[in-house]
Amino acid sequence: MSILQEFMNTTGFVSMTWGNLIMILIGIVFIFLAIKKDYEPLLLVPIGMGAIVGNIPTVPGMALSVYDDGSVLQYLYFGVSHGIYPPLIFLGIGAMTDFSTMLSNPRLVLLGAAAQVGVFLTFLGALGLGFSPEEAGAIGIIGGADGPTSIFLSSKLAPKLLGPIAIAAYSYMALVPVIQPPIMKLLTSRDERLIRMKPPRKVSTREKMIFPVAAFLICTMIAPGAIVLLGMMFFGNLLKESLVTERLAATARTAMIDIVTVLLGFCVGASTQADTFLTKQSLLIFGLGALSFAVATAGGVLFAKFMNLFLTDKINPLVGAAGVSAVPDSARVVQMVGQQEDPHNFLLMHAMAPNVAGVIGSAVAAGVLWAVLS
Amino acid sequence: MILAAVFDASRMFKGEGIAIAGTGLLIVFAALVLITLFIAALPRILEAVAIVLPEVPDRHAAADASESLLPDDAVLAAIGFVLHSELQKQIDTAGKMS
Repeated sequence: MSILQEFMNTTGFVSMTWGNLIMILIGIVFIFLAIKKDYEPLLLVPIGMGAIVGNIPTVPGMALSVYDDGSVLQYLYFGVSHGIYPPLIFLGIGAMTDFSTMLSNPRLVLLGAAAQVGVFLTFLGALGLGFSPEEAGAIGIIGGADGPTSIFLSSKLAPKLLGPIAIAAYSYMALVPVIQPPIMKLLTSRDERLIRMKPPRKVSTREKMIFPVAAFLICTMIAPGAIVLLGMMFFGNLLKESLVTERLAATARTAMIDIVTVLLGFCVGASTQADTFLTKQSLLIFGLGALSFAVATAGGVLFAKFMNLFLTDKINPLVGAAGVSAVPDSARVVQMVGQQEDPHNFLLMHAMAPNVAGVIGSAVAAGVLWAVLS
Repeated sequence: MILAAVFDASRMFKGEGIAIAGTGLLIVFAALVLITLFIAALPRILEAVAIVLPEVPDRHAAADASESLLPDDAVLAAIGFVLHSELQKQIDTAGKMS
C-alpha cells in the first residue's frame, strides 16, 4: 500500500500546476491551429507537442526535462542552447533559395535593409522597458522575422529568454498574413498599390555561382558576427548553384532541414515550462514582438516610397513589406494585397528580392548585436 | 497598456542604446548597399573575366529542354504502332513479290 502511495505521489496529477495546464492548453491550441487552420504546421506541430511534453511535471530525482542534467531531452536541447540548429537550418535555406530576382533588380536589396529598422527600434523599446542590453538585443531580433536567427542570437545573448523569444518569433511569423496587410494599406495610396514593375531580367549561371561567395565576403568583412549564419546560408546556396553538388544541395534542402526543424521545434516547445515561461517578461516580449513586426513592415514600405522620389521606374511600395525576412510568407502577402487592387499585377517575383535580402539583413543585424553586446 | 505602464525612455540612453541602434542600422545598410553595388557591377565584371571564366551552359535548362524533346509514352506507342504497320506492309509486299 505504501508503494502505491509513493507511486501516486510521483504521478503528474499530484504536482500539476495551473501554469502547466495553461501551457499544455497552449500546446494543444498550436497543434489545432496547425492542423485546422494550416498555420505554419511544420513549426507549430513540433512546438505544440514539445510544449505538452515539457509541461508534464517531472519526478524529483529523475532527469527528464530539458533543464535536467543528463536527460535525453537536454542532449537534444543542446543544439538549441548552443546555437547549433539555426546554422544547419540556414544551410538548408541557402540550398533552397534562388537569388535570381535579387540579382536581376539589385535596388530592391535596400528594402531588406530598411525593414531591419524593426530590429533596432525594438531593441530600444526593450531597453526602455527595463531589459538588460543583452536581453534587449535578443528581443530586438524578433523584428527580423527570422526564427532561426532569433534562436541563435538569444542562445548567445539571453539564454533564459530563449523560450518566449522563439515562440514569439514563430507565432508572429505565422501571423504575417494578419499583421502586415493593414499596415501596408494604411501607408500606401491606391495608385501606389497599382504600380506595375518591369519583369525581372534573366540571370546567368555565372552570376548565380559568383554571388554566394562574393556576398559572404562583403557581409562578413563588415559584420564578422554573421559568419556562422551567413556562411552556412551561402554555402548551401553555392551547393545549389555550382551545379556539381546537386546531391548535397538536395539533402540540405530536404532531409537535413526537416530533421533539424523537427528537433528545433520540439526542443523549443519542451523548453516552455510554465515556471520559466509564464512570466511578466514573456508578456512584454510578446508585446514587443508584435510591435517589431509592425515597425519592420512599415520601415520597408516607407523606404520604398522614399526610393520612388528618386526613381523613374517606380517600385510598388507594397514590395517593401517583404523586407521582413519571413520567407516566403511576406512575399505572398505582398502578392495577395497587390492582387486585391489589380488581379493582373504579379508582385510575387519582385517581392522575393527584398524577402531574401531581408534574410541577409537580419543575419547581419544579429551579427552586429552579438559582436557589440557579448 | 502593460508596455506603456513600465516604459521609461531614459533607459534607452543608458549604456549607449541609441548609439548601438544607430550604428547597427548603419552597418546593415552598408552591407546591403555594397551587395547592391556589387550586383550592379557584376555583368561588367563578368564581361571582363569572360576569357578566364566563360559562361557555363545551364544544365537544368538543358536537361529541361532535352526532356521536353522526348515524346511521351502515348506518342512513343503511336510511333511504334505506325512503324510496326509499315514494316508489316513491306514484309507482306515483299512476300507477294517473291
